[in-house]
Amino acid sequence: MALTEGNITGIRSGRLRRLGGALMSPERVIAIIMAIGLAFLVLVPLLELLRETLTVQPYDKAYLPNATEGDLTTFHYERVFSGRMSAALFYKPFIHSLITATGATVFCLVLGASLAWVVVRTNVPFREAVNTMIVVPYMLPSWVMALAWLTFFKNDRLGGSSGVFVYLFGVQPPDWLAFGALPIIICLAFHYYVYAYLILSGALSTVDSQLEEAGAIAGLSRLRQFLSITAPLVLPALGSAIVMTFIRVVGSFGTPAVLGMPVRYFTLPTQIYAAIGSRNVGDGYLLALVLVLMAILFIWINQRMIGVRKSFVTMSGKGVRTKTIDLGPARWLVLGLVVLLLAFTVILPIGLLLLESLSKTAGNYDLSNLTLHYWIGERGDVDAIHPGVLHNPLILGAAWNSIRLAFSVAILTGVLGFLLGYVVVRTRGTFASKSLEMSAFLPYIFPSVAFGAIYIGMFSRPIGPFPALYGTFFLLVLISSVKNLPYTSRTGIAALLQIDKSLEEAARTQGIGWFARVRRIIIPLASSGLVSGMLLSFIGTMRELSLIILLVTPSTAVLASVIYTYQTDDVPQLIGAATLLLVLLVITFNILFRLCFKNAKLGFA
Amino acid sequence: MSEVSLTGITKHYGEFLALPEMNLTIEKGQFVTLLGPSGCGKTTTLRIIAGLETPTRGELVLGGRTMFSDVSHENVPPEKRGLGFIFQSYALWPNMKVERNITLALRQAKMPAAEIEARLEAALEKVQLKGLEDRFPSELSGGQQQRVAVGRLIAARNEILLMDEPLSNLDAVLRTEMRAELKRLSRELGATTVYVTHDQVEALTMSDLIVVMNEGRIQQAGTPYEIYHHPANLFVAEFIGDPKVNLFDAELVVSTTGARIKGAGVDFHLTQPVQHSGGAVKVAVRPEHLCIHTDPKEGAIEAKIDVVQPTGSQTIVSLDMPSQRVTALVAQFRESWPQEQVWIDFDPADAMIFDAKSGVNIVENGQTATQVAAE
Repeated sequence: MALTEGNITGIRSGRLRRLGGALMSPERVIAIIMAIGLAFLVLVPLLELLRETLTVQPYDKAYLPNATEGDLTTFHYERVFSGRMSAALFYKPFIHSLITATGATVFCLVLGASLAWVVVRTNVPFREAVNTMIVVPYMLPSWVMALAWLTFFKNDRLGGSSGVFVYLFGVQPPDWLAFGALPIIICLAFHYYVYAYLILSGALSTVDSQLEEAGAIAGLSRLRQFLSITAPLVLPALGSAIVMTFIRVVGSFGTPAVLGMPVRYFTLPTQIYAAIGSRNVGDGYLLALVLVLMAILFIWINQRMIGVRKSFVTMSGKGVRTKTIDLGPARWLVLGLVVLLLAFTVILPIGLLLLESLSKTAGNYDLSNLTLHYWIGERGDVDAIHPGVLHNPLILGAAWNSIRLAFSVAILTGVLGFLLGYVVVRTRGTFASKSLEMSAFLPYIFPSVAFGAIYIGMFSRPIGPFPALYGTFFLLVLISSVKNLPYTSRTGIAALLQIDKSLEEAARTQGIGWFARVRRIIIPLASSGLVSGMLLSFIGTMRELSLIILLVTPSTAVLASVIYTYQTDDVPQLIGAATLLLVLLVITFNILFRLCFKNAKLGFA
Repeated sequence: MSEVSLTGITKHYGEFLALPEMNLTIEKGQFVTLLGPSGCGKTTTLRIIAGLETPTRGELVLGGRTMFSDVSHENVPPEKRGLGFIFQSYALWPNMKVERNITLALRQAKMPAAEIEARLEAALEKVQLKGLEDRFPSELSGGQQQRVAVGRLIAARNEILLMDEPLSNLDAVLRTEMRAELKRLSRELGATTVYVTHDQVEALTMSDLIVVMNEGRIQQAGTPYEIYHHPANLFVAEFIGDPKVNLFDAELVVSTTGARIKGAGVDFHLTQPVQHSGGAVKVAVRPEHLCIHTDPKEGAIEAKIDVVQPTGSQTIVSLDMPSQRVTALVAQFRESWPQEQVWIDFDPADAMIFDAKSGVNIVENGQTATQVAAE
């Protein structure tokens, strides 16, 4: 009798232990903790945002004298969508956003697709160099182009100094050329085409030439081969390129702020900034919500149209061969065009900003007007108010903040990316793995400005034991890391997938514990992939403006936000110098990283 | 009448010479295998026939029609050559269903719908994929994908079929099965087939003619029997046969009484006529021609049993000789030998003799030699 009882308890405790063991394996524990953390950082803010749009805000008291703060109300919805102000508050910015984002997306795709085809499928000379040149604009802040555009085309519309165009030709460029939709579209397109290029060239190089050859054998002409075989195969990639470009462009703040706001050409991001800046947070949050819904709708349409058979590009992984098309002498012409593109997107803007930063009085580009004041001058010399960037405590402090921020984000994303990758790969196929992968992807659907708005809503007051984070440096680190998660998790998963499970199992059978396994085997093997992901976050954070423009305070200002605030001061020289300082920092750190991690494979997200 | 004819075909990739001059003629209805190690130019040759690679020089004639010629500057594009091709990766179009994969070429040729339907039915029937025509390739197993590629070939009914290692991605069981299928298919379609492989078993089992290639050059073209029993040179002798052929260094002494082979452990008179004036040679003996004796025998060489590997109908025996290691193949199931010390010998008539320097087979072939003009 006792024996049986003993047996039963034995079985029970064994089961318990097994159950406990399954639940408590390190990867499970991390999975659960991370899933909860991600839900808190992504889903809760979204709900919070939704709630805020439905409650009475302090700003609204003037309009709703009887309401108390925090009451449920549809006031914001009425005002934004149907009220007297709705045209200015919502419809116009909405239309402007649609126009600029659609225009820029189309432009990006045409440019990105042509370049992808040239690099992957033709015998363009110096292919590797061309590939590198094409992605250089990615390293610059997206609004550098806009600043350069303004430097060139600025007219007397705003008062203050005018640009190079006026200096050279003596006539004022028309408003449509200096501000508004056209310049915004062009400036956005020449920065964001890099994403379309990277996605499409990746897809194109996984299409096995044998599939086209089989088409040729079946009697299909070149054109038919492209239309019925190649095009359908890259269609899913085209879809994700469209979605990615559109979401980035529609959430972009810097370019429409520089080229649109001065003439009151608002897009949703700039309108959100204006609303929240004037303390009208309810409307601002609602507009952010619209932006999020637009992005979700876009993703949904893409999924409906081409998402069904998403993965067939990678189907035959083995023996992919890519044949290149001989362009003949035209290949040199193509190379010339790529160099021209680089000149237009990188050299020209930087040259213009450099010129601007060296002129004594803005708008005068005579040689006699050159000065180094805005780089190394002390206050009171050439300019009584503004010292050069290297003596300007505001700019130097912001530069230091930028570096600190970028480093913190890079390290945090490195850690998060590793943990995510490890957990997702090791628990592959389980619910935990899938939901974690999904929630790491979620920040992707939030346009940057909207995400910033969500974080204000969430962290402007204490939550449970946590104090209000608004105005702290930590909040900037947090939001930048979370916004980077979709890419971080992808590089993490990719890096961990390359490490065969048996490597860890071999260590396990030899009695090596989890921490030792991770430290001695997994991290060293995954590091090269992780480092490239960290470099990406670093560069991305250094030049980020849209995401944090709503969250910075004077004490946490970063270089990008300081440059933006100088816009209103009409010191174009200082803007030029500070922007170049930022570009220099990005390039220097990029080179340093590459020198430190020579054998790390560096790609772009 | 020759169906496929390559004359003086050369292929450069930039500076790299992939195919030195190649001449090859294939008769109508033949099943010809291009066999060789990877990088030997066999796939390049096949792709040149298909028109997927453009040769640097030479002339290619298919079914009496000049497809490529550096003299008349003709170069018919692949889509106009009317060939059937099975790719190593099958090259099924992943964005099309099985049905479309099979019928695309027919639709492209503007065939009447009824005819397309009939051919599709027949092809599906033949490759046993009925009911799967609405699947996408990614929803099929490897073997089924392979059969779709075959179905594509059947429906198109081409006169010339080209196959680029079509079985290399299948597991062993399927491979054996599909080997027979493809051979039957080629016979039923009455098509001329050029088949590329590095697997000697596929070559030996399927071909009417085997073309052994190495470093872009044809080493020997002959029937499977000739290739196996009368390899033209050492490369072919070593490449064909599993387990590998045993090689012995020896000296050939030619005198008025006949030719004699003397070497470490080998010493015998040649019964076959040779074309050689004497000197260093290599004697090659197939493992199945080595006999193992448990007692000393006149002329037999001492050896020690090392490893015994029964494979079912046969047993592979590795033996240690004082100077080298040899392999014997015994036509029975053995797990061990009663003693370690044994004696081995072979019938001199089974020995193949090669010139040690040039590697050329010096024994006159009783049957018609098919040394190809390419050399």
